[in-house]
Amino acid sequence: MASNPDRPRREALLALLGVQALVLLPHLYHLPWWAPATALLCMAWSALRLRQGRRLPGTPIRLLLVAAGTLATLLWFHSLNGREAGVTLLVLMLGLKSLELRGLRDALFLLFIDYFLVATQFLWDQSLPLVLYLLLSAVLLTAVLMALNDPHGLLPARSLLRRAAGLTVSALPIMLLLFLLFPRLPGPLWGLPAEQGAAARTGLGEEMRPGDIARLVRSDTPAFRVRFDGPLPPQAERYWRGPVLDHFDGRRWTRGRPEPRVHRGQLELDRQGPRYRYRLWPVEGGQRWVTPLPYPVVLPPGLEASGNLEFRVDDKARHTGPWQFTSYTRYRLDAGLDPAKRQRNLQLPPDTAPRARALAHSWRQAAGDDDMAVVRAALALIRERPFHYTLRPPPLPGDVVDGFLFETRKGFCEHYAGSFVVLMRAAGIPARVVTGYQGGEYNALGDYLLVRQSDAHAWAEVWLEGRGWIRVDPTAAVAPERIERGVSAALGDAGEALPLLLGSRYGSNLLNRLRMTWDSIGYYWDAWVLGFGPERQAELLTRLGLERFGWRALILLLVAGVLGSMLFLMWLSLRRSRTPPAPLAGLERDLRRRLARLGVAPRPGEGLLALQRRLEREAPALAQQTRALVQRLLTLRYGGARSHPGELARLRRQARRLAWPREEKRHKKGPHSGGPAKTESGNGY
Amino acid sequence: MAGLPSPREALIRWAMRRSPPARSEVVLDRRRIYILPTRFGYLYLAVCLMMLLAAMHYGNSLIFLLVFLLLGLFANAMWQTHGQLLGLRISLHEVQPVHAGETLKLPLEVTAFDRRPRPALHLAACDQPQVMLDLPPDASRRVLVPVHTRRRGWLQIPRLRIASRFPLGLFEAWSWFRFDRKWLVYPAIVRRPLPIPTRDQGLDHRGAGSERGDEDFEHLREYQPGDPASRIAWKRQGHDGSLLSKQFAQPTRLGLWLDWHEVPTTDPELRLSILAGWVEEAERRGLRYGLRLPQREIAPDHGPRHQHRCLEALALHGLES
Repeated sequence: MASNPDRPRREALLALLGVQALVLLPHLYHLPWWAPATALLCMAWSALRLRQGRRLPGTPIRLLLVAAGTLATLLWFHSLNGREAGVTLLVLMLGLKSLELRGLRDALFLLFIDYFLVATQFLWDQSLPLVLYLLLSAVLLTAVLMALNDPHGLLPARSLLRRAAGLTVSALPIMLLLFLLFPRLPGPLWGLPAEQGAAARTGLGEEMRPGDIARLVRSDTPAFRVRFDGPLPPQAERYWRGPVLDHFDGRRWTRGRPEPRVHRGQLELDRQGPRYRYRLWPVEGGQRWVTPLPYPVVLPPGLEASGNLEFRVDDKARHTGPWQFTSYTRYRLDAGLDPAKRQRNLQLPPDTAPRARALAHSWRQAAGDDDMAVVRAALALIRERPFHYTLRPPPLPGDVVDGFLFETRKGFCEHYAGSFVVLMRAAGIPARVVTGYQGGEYNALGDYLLVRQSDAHAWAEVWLEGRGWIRVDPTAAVAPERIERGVSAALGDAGEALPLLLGSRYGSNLLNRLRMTWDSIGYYWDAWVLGFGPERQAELLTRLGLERFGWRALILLLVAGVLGSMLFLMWLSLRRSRTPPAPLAGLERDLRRRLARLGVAPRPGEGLLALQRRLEREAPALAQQTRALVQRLLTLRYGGARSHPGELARLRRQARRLAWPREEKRHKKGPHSGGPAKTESGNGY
Repeated sequence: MAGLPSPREALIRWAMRRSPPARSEVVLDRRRIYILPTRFGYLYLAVCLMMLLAAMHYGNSLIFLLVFLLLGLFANAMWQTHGQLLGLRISLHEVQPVHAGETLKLPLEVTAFDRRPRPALHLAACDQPQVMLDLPPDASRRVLVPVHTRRRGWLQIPRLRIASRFPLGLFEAWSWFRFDRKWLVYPAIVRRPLPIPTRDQGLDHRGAGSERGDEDFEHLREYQPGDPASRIAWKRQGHDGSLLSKQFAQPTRLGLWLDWHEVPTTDPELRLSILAGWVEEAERRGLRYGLRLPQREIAPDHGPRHQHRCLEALALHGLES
């Protein structure tokens, strides 16, 4: 018998390893694959050994493995600090620790790391399905914890699981309370090395090659959501501004030298036109760029703007939740252009696009000083020549710009924007490519605008004397419906097959409704769970009318709520408990009371035996019924016998149902022969 | 401040004052149950704190959610563990006396009256090894709690403790209880050869019984009703499965005085132990024996009751005025 509590059941240990594997699996996605794989191998080894009842590897082997794991991590990351390296190390140690899974202590230690690993997943991925998966793992971990505390396996696995789920569910009120009311602080607690977001992410990059944006467009994933206070801007005004690309190497547009001027807080530009107030939730955390409508008057803390009016997240300020903006869509940027910047925006690699350059020169000669005329000429070229807007342009082997402008004439927005800027620069007009998103789909269910990766777009900006940077979208010249109605309309009209979901976006069929519902769930998840930060908390207090009391109200609510939840948990627990019936005394009381009601009240001081004898004489019909009862009562009290579970309750029921047989009832029922029973229990006799 | 008890002692004293000793059964009500986090529970809180710091640092709502879920589980586990003991009835059964130095197995019966399964209940007498009990819902189980005995005489049953850590091991709920009962502990046994019974001792012996060492066994004969059970040769049986009785050279009727003054030692406790050994040995051999103590004399007889009387006299010798 394994009665030593430090020696848990083998099945419990195996279950622990199994659940641990479940917790580890998602880490395969964002850690170097060898770390989770090593851990899983170690766990499989350990499980095999445990199953066979063989000993686990000795200390020297384990020490060697620990050293190897640390070294491997160090070589891979050149550091043991930071999110990735830290979690990698944790995963490796988890695997190695699994190799010395013997007693309860080892198992509990592993369990702690598992809980911690569940938490670290959220640093990478916060999607709803993953959270549900991890919640399930947490319930399983709790069941394993219970199994470890049940060394003989009194509870079968199924009831362990049910109990674990029950425990988790009844923990939810406290979780919710703490989540809503625990005071949230803005910003990180200490500085950590900024994680390089170099890992491939869907979303805007910092460079543009032909095909880059077309690839994005095929992805239907949400990029960000926007909720407006007041009216939405018209479709054609919805240019969400991302990185500005001003350097061209003949094939690739990149951000040139970092713009030295950086703005924080108030942005001072000449402004006019309508004003839009809105909040913007990026769907994926950790994005480097935020794409508001230009131009936001005040930059929220944690966001900085470059001189090119790009909006970058400050790595040091870890912002959560939505970005709050107030934007004017008409503005004047860079009324005067300093020579260096002007030079940068006229840059063209030598020997590229000779035909385009020649064409631009001819326009310049025809237009004289009128820059606007050159712009109009370029747009007219795109509008009037047989250009096509397509997701699948033919490959451009030679010079990208000339090949596109003069031969294939089939391209996507990046082709149009890039070639247009080359034409402008060749004609001596400062110009650059702006990437971002255009459009967005209104979700009436959640009252927000959803912008997807497929809304990614590239357009051009030209600098005109006295007017600053002007947005020119050459795509609008070839496919105006792209701007008016969105990308699927533009491509759909051209008869291009699109992914099923993307194609049906503007249909009003059931599928679309389902999609909108699913996305609004995502929206509420982002807005109320992922984005729940200091701002939302303050908003909540305001809604409750408690904003005047500030954090004191939070603390007070928190304390009251936690106390309330504790009472709730107490009730849950006590509801299931039953104390033993007050032994025997209650049974005797019931018996005496019933007899009194039936007209044969026990006399004061009359013991049970005497009572029974009297009943035998005076009321044999009742005595017959009480005989066994009294006998059992006496045996229980004085014979040292123990009642079976439930027996007392049965006897009491029996006592309470004593009754005269039908015929005797009539003539026997008379005035009560004595007072009500005063003696209740403990009658000696 | 030398006279003050340790905090733990003070707590126990306070607890024992709150719940006076029971005669034969205790019911664990809320007043009797105490609960504190285990070391594992504190560690769990420490891990939660670490995760909370990470959540605050990264402003990660989901880590917040997980931490708060774990804290909710923690709070929940407290009540669940508390409920493991709540409403249990513990009753004490009768027990055979043991000799000093032996372990008394205290038979306790634990009964649950609700539908809650209770794995891994730990019961222990004060400072003694604990035993574990699994109690299914609505059931009753008997458990033997070891109590080590050191001295002969009356043993006051020590304080007992029942504890549970189920379901999560984060808390330990426990209860102290005591029974107002005393148990007799016989003196420890020291084995020495029996004294030679002689005519001088004034017993009705027949013929000069010669001491032939410990083994006086002579032959077997068919069992006859009335033969003492101790003399049945259990290992040997007749061809037809009938029982055989051992016949001893010494006549059964021979009596023996076990005399305090004849014990070859001066240490009173050792004297008692040797006497106890003699009583056991004489009883085993089926002799008639009497006990002679300085203030007391028990006439020769044999049988379990007689043995108990003799051992009781030895156990209480000099303890009761």
